[in-house]
Amino acid sequence: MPENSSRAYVVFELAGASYAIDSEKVMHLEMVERVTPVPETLPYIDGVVFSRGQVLPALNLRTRFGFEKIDYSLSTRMIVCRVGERVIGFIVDSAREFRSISDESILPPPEDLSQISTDYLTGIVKLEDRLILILDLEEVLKPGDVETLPSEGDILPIASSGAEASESRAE
Amino acid sequence: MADSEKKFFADLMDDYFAECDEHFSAVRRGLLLLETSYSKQVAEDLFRSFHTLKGLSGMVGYSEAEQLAHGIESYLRALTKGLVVLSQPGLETLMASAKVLEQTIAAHRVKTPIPDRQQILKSLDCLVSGQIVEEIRSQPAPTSTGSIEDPPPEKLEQIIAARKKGAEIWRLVFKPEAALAERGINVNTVRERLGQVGEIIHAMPKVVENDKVVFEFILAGPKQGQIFESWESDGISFEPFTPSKPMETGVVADTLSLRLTPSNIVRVELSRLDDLMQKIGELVIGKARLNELLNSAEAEIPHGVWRNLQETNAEMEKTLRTLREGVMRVRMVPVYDLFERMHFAVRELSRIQKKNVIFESFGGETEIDKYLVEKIMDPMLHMVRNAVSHGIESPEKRAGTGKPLEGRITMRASAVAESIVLEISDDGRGIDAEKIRSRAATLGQIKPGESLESMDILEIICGSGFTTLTRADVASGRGVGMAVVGKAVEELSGSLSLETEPGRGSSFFIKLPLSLALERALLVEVCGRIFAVPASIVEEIVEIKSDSVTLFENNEIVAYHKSVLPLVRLSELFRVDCDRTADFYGLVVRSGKNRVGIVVDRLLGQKEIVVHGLSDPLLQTPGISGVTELGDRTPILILDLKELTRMRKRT
Repeated sequence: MPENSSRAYVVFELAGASYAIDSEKVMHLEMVERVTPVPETLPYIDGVVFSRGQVLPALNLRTRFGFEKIDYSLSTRMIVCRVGERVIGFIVDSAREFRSISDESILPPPEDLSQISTDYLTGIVKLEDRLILILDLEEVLKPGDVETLPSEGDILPIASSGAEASESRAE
Repeated sequence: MADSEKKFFADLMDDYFAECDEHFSAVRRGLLLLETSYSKQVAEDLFRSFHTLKGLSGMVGYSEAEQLAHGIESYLRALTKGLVVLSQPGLETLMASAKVLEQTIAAHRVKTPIPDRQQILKSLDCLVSGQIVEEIRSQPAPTSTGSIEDPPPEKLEQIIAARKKGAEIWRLVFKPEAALAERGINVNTVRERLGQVGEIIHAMPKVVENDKVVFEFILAGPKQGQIFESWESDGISFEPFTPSKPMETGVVADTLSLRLTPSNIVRVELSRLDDLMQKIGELVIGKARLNELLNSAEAEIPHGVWRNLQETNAEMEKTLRTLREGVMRVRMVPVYDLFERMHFAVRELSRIQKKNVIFESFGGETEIDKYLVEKIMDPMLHMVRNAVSHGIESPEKRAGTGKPLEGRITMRASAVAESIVLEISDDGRGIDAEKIRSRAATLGQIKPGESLESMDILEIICGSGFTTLTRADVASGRGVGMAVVGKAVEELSGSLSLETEPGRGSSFFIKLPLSLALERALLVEVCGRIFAVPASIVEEIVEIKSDSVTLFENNEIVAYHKSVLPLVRLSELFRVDCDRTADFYGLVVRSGKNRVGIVVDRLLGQKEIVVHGLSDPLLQTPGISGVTELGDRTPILILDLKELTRMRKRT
C-alpha cells in the first residue's frame, strides 16, 4: 500500500460523540420516514423501511449501544450501508460530513476513551479537536450481548416515531 | 390418452442442445485455465461439466456421447484424486476429446455421421492407467483422384446443409481449351450450366501441370451423375466429392462454430424476469392509484377533459394487462420437463429396488412459471421416490394381493382458475393411518387415542422430524423429506392435500397459484396498524359482536355454522397493546382440518399487492411473511395466517 493512503468516511453524530463509517460501505443517506415496526424483532430494530424500492431493516444505533432513545428529529438520518451481502439502514442523530482520513492517523481504540465497547470500533482518530470513533459494522450487526426478545409484559411501541425506551446498557 | 411424445421430444432436444452449449462454454474456459496451470478446483469443475453432459446424453439416448463423456470424466476423476498427474499429452487428449464430444453431439443435431471415438477412448484409457499416450494421429486420408485442397470450412457447412436436403455433392473440373472456347464453352458458360443443375457451393481456379489453369467446382446437385457424362467432351470432368481428410475429424476446429443452440431460442436469467415482474407489479399499483386520483378529480375538471383522461387511462390499463400477461408467459414452461425428470427418477429407483413400475403422465403441456418449476422440483422428486420406496409394493407382494405385477405411478397437471394442480398418484399400499398414528404418538406429536383423518395425516408427515423409518433410507432421505415438501408448498402460497386408501394407493395434490409477483390481498386494521392478508387463504369473513364471544378452556370461541370457531388475536401473538373493540371481524382460515378466526378490527378493502420478501435475518418474524406498500412507500406487513394459527396452538 502506498505511504499516504487515505479513505473517505461518512462522519455522523450519536449521543454527543462523532463516529465514522468507511464510505465504500455507504450506499446513500436518507431522512427517516415511514418506518413500520415489525413485531418480535430485536429492540434495536425500529422496523422495516422501503429505500429506493428495496426493503431493509432500520437499525437504531442509539438503542443498539444502550443510549437513551429519543424521537426522530429533522436532523435524524438513516445511513444505508452494504455489509457483506446485506443492506441495512443505520439510524443516527445526524450525518452531515464527508471526511478524508488517512490510514496512518487511525489509532487502535483505547478502552477508556469511548462510550461504547471497543469491540464495535476498528479504530479512533483525532481530527482537529474531535475524537472520531470508526465503526466496525460487522460487529454492530452481531447479536452480541444485547438483550434479545422482550420479556413477557413488555409493550412494543405502536407508533413509528419511537416511544418509551427500556433503558439498557449494552456491554 | 398419454402425452404424445413426438411433440415434446423436439422441445426436449432443443433444451438438451442449449444446455450442452452452456456446458461446453464452461469446458472451454476450464481447459484454457488448465493449460496455464493445473488446479484441482478447475479439474473438479470440468469433471462436473462432463458428468452432467454424460447424464444429459444418457437421458436423450445418445450412448456414443455418453460413453465418450464417461471416458473423459474418468480421466478427470483420476486427476482430481491425484492418481495421475496432468501431462502435456494428457491435456491435449482432454482438449481433443472435448472437441470430439462436441462434434458427436453436433452430429446428432445435423444428422451427419458420428465421428469415430475409438482413438480418443483408447488415449483416455491410457491416461487413466498412467501409461504414456501415443501421439494422437489424425486418421489416414482416403485417396482421391484430385490433389485439390479442400474447400474452406464455411463451405463445408453448406455441404452439410445441402446433403441434409438430399442433394449429392460433386466435384467438377473444367479444363479450358482453345477449341472449347471457339465453341463458346468457357468458364462462365460452364458456371451457368452448373448453376442450372444444382447449387455451386465453391469455385476455385487451380494451377496444374504445365502451368495451366483449371477451374474446380463443388456442386450440390442431382443424386445421379449421368447428366455430367455428356459433358466430358466439353472439358468437364466430374467425380463424387470426397474431402481429402474425412469430413468428420477434418472439420475439427470448425464444428465448434456450429452453434448447438437453435438460433431462435434466447436463454434468459430468471432473475431478470423477476425484476421485470416486479416492475410490472409496481406499474399495476401505480395504475390503481391513478384510477383513484382520476375518480376523485372528476368533480374538479371539465367533463370533456376528464372523459379524455379516463379513456386514455382505460387504454393504458388494457395495454398494461397485456404486458403483464406477456411477461408471465415468457416465464412459463410446460411441466413436461418436470415430468420427465420424475420419470427418470422412477426408472432409476425401481431398478435399484427391483420393483416393476410404470410411469405415465398427463397434461404435460400445462404451463407453469419457471420459478415454480425450480422450487417444486426437489419436493416432487422426494414424493415420487417415496411413492416408489414406500408406496409400491414388491412384485411378490402385489401378486399376493391380486394386483398387477407392475406398480403404476401417475402424474397429472391441470390449470384450474388461477392455479395449477399437480397430482402424484400411486396404486401401492396406501398410507397406513394406524402406523402414522402410533408413530406420532411414540414421538409425542399427538395424544395416544386421538383419531386421524387424511388432512391430519398430511400435517403430521409434513411436520419436521417425523418418519416411519427407523433406519435411514438412502434413497428418500432421513425423515426430513415431507417437511421439506410442506414448507416448499407453503412458501409458494400453495396447498398440499392427500387422498389415500389402504391397499389401493395414494394421491398427493399440490395446488400452486400461478401469479407470483402480484397477489390479491385483504387490507385490514388490527390494533391501529394496517396489515395485508393473502386473499386466497381466507375462506370467509364473519362479523362478530363481542358479546357473542365465550371463553372455553382459555380460548375465545364463537358460534359458527353449527360448530364453533376459536378466535386468534394478533395482539396476543405479537404482544402488542390493543383496545378490544366492541365489534370486529373474523377472517376464517383453515388450520389442519379445523378452522380458526383471526380477529381484525376493521376491513379496509381488497388490493393487488406486490410482495417483497423480508430476507434479512433482523426482520424475520414468525407470522409475517413479507412486506408491501400501497403507493406511498409506507411498508405494510403481510401476515402469514397459516403460521399464526400454528403459533396459537403452541401458546
